[in-house]
Amino acid sequence: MALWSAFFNKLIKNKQRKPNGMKNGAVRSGRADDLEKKYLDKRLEANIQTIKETTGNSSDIIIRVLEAGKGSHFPIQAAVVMADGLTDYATVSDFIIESLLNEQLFEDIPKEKVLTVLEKKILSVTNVKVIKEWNELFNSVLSGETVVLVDGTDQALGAGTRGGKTRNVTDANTEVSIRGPKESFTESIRDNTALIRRRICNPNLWLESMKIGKETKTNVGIMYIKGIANDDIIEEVKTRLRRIDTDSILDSGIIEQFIEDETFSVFPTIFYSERPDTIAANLLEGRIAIIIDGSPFVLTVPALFIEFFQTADDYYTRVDISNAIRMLRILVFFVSMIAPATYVALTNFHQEMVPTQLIITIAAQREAIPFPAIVEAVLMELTFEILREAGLRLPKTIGQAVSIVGALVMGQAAVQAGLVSPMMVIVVAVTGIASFATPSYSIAISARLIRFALMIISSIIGFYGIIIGVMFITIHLCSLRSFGVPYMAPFAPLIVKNLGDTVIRMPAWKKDIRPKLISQNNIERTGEDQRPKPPDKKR
Amino acid sequence: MRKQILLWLCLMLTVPSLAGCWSSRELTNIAFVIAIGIDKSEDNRYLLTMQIMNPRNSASVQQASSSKGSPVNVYTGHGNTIVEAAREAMGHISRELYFSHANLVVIGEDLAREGVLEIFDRLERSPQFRRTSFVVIAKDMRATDLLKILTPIDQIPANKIIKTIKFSESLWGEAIKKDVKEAIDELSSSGKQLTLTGFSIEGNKRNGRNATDMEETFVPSRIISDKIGVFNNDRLIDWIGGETARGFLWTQNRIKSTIVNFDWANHKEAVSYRVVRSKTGTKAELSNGRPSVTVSVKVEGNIGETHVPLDLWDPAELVKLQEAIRKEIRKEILKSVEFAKEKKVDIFGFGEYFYSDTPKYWKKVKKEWNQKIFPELEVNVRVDAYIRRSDLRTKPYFYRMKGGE
Repeated sequence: MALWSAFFNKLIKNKQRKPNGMKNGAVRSGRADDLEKKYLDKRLEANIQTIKETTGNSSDIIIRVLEAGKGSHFPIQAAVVMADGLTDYATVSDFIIESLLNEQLFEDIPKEKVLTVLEKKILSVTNVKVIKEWNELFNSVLSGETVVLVDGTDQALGAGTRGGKTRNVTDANTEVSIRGPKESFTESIRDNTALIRRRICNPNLWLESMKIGKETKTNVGIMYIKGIANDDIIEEVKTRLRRIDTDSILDSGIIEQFIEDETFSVFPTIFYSERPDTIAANLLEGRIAIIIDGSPFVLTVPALFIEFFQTADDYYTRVDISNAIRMLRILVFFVSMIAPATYVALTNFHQEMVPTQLIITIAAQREAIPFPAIVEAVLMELTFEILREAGLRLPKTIGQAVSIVGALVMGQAAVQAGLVSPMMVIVVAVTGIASFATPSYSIAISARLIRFALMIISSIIGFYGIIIGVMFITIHLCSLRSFGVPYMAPFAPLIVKNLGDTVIRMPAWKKDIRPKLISQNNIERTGEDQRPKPPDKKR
Repeated sequence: MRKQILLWLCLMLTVPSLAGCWSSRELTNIAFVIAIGIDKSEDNRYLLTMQIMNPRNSASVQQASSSKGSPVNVYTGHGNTIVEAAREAMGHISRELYFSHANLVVIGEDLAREGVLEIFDRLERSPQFRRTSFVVIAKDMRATDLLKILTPIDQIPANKIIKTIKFSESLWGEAIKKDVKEAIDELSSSGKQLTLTGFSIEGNKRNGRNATDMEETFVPSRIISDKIGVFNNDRLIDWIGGETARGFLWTQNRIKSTIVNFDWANHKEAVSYRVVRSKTGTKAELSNGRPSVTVSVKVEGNIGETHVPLDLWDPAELVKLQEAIRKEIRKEILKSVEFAKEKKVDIFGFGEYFYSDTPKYWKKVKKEWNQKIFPELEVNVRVDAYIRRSDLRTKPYFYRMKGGE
């Protein structure tokens, strides 16, 4: 991996050395960028004009001009600005426009105090803030607030009227659980933070926000439990997020690529989930959640290798069965990585290791196959990957057709045509199913990539190659860090106290502490003597 | 960075050179030898017979379209050494010979009588051969003829022979399982003589080479386990079978289960005792310069069948029965001891017990052990036999009819 990154770094450096004339060449006029540090005008006319020019008269920016109040120096010109679809109509009309049009409220107010009175007495919405800068104004309009401008003041009011259509909270799609909460995150950051807060009712659950993306100005929240999360890591997360200089953040996946520790690794060093309960559990272990507006996947850091094999169900079902299943899952991950490579090595190099009857069966099946075992294996694995990729993007109705064709091509026709042996089909099928049994998609795909590499090396030097490959992977895994925390912890470095939730999980009543490398303060989770027992007989 | 890349490249380059199993072999390019036979040829060279798997015709693959041929094919080669013979055979076979699955070595009787000392060297030296391959003798025939016979149920003849030895040894007691490793040990030990199971063909020796012969219910030629060959040093001298063979196996602690018939109430061999567990211990002793060996056998079993009225409710009767069983087993063991003493071959490995218990004494008598000491050796046989159960009946249904009370 070090080799790869060295190679890529070199490429990148070369690119940067080229003179870059494109960068910020011409300043485009009329763009919001020009409004940096510019303040509102006193005249309403002018302000409205600026809004219209800046938004290019976009039809979804509604500017409602009205006359408010009565009396000596009234009516006064006012304007309500909002983005159509991002605001809650009822709130805007009932509590802002209604109040503004109520003439009694505006009697006998000095002209220069109108805004203060509006803020303090008249606008009956939950949060109102004073806006002075243009940038601020556009941010608040475009994030769903309603801005009230009054003629004669160089300030405006932003009223919290966020609303409009967002997706409802629905069942988790990619991380289905048998037992446990069904909710999953939506694309709205506010819904998502609420889902987490609902699970951790604790003032120490802190949420910090920032906007990332020059063009998109995406809302990003950093959530952690103060006092449990490691302050150094929080600081590191913030530094890395602040460093991001890109035009757009459309999903948490983009943030992930900007802040991960090792870019040239097949293993993910940032965990993500769409389940609020999983994220809550991670927060409680001292991790830091990064919530991105517009993405139903919430990131948590630091990530450990073993974390990708734990599912929410593991903790909700009883300890014996959940341990058995977790061990199966870890085993199956290795199967999905080395099964085809093992098959190739066994049939090409180590025929003596296979029981006589079995090798003869395999030999008999391979009699009529024109390809060497490695070609056969790569062919079938590729077919499988193609099928999987094709099936992934198709509408459900057509997807079925693909799976039928796939089953026939893979299972039946390929064997009958003498292209591959039935044994290979079994190996591919087992591998395929095994890779679906890994709960985290991001680690399952790393096994998918490694599988091909191992297959090729095993076709050259057999088991020896597989061992070398696995050793390389192990060394690489041990060298990985996620926000400063060793990826393979608590195995390497070995932290015996934290082994209670790794390959096996201790019962819930067992005394438990938080992962040592992630969280160093407030580490006790479960107290002493929690094991349930029947009441004493004496009673 | 450049240094690191160079380092990685150097490390990567060493990988191929370290590979122990560099040569890749496609399954379609190798011929699985599953049994080899070694004979003396007419011109006094070795005749190596190789039974080679024909995967296409093996039972595990069902190909409805193609008609079934023989599951194995036999190729032969001549040579002064076994390697040479194998190389000569290469000229007849389109694939590379692969010996890792050769689980059976058959030695022709003629060769066995001439001496087998040298033949195991190749089997031990070659990285492909397994030291766990079984060794048997083709009784009254050449190994090459035995290996040409097909077998019906276990379609691969080598498998049939291997399974027969295994079950025959532990469930009946007239065959002895020996692999290459054990055979070499016994050949090189002066405290134990080599013994190998014989296999012969019952029925027509010429038939049984055609796959269609296997379609009959009673196949014309059948490979059977036939007695145990006894060697004097590296030469086959005689065969033992029946009770003598079983007596020998009792001493070797190799019987797991067998049937012992004994006389009862003046009826010859009237009751069958079914052995369930048995354990044999051997102890060598030296008192006042006089060597003696004690073989103690502990047997547990059930009454398997009776043709005389027996009342197993009666404890006294049980004790008497056990006594009879004891005598019967002791008789068998002594029979084999008598035979070995007469032939002056210590097939039991008593010498090895002296070697480990009284090494000084052994050093002295090592040379003349088989010739002088062993034939005069005092062998005590102690048998403990217990009847644990009588299967489903205590009294036979004919108990009263045959005069029981």
